[in-house]
Amino acid sequence: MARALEKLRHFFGRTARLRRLEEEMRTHVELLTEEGVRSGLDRAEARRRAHLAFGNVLSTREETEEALGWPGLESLGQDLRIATRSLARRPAFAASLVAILALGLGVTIAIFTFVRGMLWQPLPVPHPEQLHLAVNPAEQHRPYRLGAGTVGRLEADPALAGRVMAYATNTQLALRQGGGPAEPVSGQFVSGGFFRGLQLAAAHGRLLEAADDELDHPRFVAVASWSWWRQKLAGDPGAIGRTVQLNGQEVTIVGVTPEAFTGLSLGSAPEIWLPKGLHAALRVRPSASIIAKDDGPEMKDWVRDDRVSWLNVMVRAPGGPAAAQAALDAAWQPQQRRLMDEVDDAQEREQIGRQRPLLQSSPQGFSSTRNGFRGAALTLMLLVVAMLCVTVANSSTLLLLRILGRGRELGVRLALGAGRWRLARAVILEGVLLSTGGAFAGLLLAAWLTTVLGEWLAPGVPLPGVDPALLLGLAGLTILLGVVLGAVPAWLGARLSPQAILQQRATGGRGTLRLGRALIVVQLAASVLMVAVAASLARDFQRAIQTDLGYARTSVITTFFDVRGAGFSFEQDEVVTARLRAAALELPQVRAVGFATSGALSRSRSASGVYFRGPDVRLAQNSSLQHESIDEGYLDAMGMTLLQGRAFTAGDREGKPKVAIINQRLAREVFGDANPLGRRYGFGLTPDNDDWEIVGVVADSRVNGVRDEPAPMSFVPYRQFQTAPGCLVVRVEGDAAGVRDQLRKAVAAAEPTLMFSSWLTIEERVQRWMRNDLAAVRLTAGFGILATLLAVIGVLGTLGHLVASRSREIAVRLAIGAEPGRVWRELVRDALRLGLAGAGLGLALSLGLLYGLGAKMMTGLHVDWLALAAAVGAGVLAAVIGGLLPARRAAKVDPLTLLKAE
Amino acid sequence: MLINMSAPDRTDLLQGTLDLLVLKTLAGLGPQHGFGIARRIEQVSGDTVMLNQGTIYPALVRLEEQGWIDSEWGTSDNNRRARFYSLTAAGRKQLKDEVANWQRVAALVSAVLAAD
Repeated sequence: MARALEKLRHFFGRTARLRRLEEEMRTHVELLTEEGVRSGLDRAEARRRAHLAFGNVLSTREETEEALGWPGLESLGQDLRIATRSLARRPAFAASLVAILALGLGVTIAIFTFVRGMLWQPLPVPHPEQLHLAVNPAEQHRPYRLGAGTVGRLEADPALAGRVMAYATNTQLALRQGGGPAEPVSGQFVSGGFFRGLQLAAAHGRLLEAADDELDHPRFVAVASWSWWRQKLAGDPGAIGRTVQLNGQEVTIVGVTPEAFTGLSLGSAPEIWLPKGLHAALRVRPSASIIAKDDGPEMKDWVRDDRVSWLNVMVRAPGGPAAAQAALDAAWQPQQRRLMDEVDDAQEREQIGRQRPLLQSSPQGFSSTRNGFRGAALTLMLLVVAMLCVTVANSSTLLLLRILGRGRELGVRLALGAGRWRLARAVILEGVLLSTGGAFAGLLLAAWLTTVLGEWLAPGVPLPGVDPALLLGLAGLTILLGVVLGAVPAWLGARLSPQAILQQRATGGRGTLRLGRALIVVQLAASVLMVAVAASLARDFQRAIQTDLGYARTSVITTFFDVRGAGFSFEQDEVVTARLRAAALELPQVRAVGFATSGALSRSRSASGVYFRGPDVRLAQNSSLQHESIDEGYLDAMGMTLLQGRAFTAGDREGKPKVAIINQRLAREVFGDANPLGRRYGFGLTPDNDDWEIVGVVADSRVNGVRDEPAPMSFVPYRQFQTAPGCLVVRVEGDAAGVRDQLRKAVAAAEPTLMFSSWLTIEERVQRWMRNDLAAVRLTAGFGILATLLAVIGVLGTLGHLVASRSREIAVRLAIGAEPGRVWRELVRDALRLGLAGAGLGLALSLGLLYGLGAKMMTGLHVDWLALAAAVGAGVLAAVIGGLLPARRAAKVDPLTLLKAE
Repeated sequence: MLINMSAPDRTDLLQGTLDLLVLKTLAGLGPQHGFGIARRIEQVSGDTVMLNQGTIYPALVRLEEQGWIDSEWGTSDNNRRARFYSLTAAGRKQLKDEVANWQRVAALVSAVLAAD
């Protein structure tokens, strides 16, 4: 302890002691000199001898410093100055290294920030770790939809008071302010305890409370999201208390949510929140699963009927979910029994009996966007790692070459008595300086890239800033990187012998170049991997976007609307559709007009459990057969091909025999090669008069998604299925985008109260559908191009150095008559060898990646031999291009000039 | 630490023995400055030890760090400011130990060499 104190005292008195020792040494040399003078030497000679006797001042000084303990703090400052000066002497070199490092680090930070925001960011509420979501273990842990009855029973549990949150899926509402035109707003119906459970406080006004959502007496109030309030209500605090019209009903805006809160699902932020009891008054049907024997519950029953499951449930459970799970089980059982009563089929009843909503820790809420993003995130992370490898290998190569180029300077310093460790430290310091510069530049780049990436890959998702923990990690990474960067060349430099360097014999020996080559191969391999990923994605994208959808693309334009929201009843549907059709047909270019409930590429679909009649069916039951309700013009307007039987007519309406047109896939699945026309299916276990008769077969089409294989499905007349038409389809002569504006005006004028969503051609919807895929292609292509460019630079530098160091040998060979072409070819062959090695390794990496992790990666990433071949070609080409320039220089060596200079 | 440059008849000092020589010199001479210590070692050895005189300073620092010697400013014979080093009590004990140790090792080495 006392010794440690002593050391510490010495440490702080270090500078003084060093100065004192220096004075002592000076005195020593002077005494020696005087002695010499006294013995009859002249002063200069005496001085020379004194220095000889005293020995190497530099190493003595260094040794003394080391003996003082904690060596180097001071010399560190010196080395820092040396390193800075040495870098400043070659600003282009320093700048390019900083740029390369900035690129690598910037991309890494940006991608990690982005991935963290997408995957690991908790909800911006107090104690998000307490939040548990009821999920369905049987359905990939997707949120369980429960009835309002179950929610009510759960809320009634005194242990869970103020801890239960229920919410429906977002729905589109028509908003009118002060007599203006209707505009769409995305609303979410939530339980009165929603915001209390989240422990959120209003930014302005108040949030919803239990009294807003009383059974049968919901208040006509709404809470606005921060961003919607800023955009549509001009951020005016005076807007609190204002009344707006939602789906024709007067609703009062009572408050604004905090800015950070954008709902529980990443990627689908509601703009307003409403008490769930209001859905009936607003005639809104959020997504629901309904199990009912009769025609189905009225909308007003949704808040009290257990047969309608439409609410996701989240519970705040500070002490773990066990008690809340027991309460949920108890609350769910009555609904479960009620649902089982509605089912005739014993097997199905048993299936419902097995179901159980499970509380799962969900500090981030739930998001299908996020789940879909996992594969992309893994791919991105792997690419980032590859990119980081490339940048480190690349900058290490450049630094190594730099050290080799500075062999003379290092040799002189070694000969002058500088310690090897000291020399190595100087080189490592250069590495640290460069990586620090790279980190700062990289941080700036990352700040910019993060926003760009967000807009590109996940528009509308609120992403966090760069994580402080990430910054700390970055600082560590930077120093490590710098040390590694400097250590390799430093180690090699320390092995140099001063004589060899001064005689210009050494270029670092074979080992150095082997290392340089290995670094090149690593860079080439990583770039081949990245190009392979990019090319595979690009080819898959090309294939996917050109898929035959089974319906027309450019000539068809579609739009969506909500007749119920606009206040029309079922009886009025036919009048409305007739008016819209007539308005569209006014335009001379329009060829056909049709209506459907969901529409193609709309991300919405409906399904019902059905039983196929007849003893010979190959599949007697389909528990969720996709149904699309259409009018008589739809198939023709979409350009779908009727293969067998007849299309619907205006006569297929309520009161007439129920008819259906099934697609080819369903026909084959259920009836095999037998003729499906005239066959029947129904919703009940046993045949009855409400069964549907199959009157036609239509060709398969991809209505659910560009990438999704066509699903087996059935089309039914909307007048018989009793659903509201929600999608208008117009087919025109030529490109439908050309008549978009005319069509929009004509149709809107025909039904001014109806609100239409975007008018887009199918082609445009396909492009929009594939937007993320396109962004991924661009991103990976950017990675690939960057990595390849860096690899070219690396090859260029290494082979350039080789040429420079062998210039004497080359000059001699040329002088004794070797053809320049031969020298040239040799170097290109060398580059080619490097390229082949790198490409081979890259190919192996890519295959390993694609076969090993293919399923977990980005959609559309699979082994594509043509893409792999292109990547290998690009890698070899990069090496050859990098080799050409040094080879040209070698061939141009003038033997005379060079040998004279020796 | 000590470099044998050219003279083949001069002896290279064993690693660590310089410290011992410095301690012994101080014990014999009393307080002395660096120049004096170096001069004394050369004299005593009859100029058979080739010493880079500068190496005396790292040795002095090491010994002072160990607490075996102490130092203070004084004036040299020719009226120069000089740092005078003197043995501490711990230094005296250390010297005794080292001398004993050295003699043991030297005797052992001599015995082994003579056995041939």
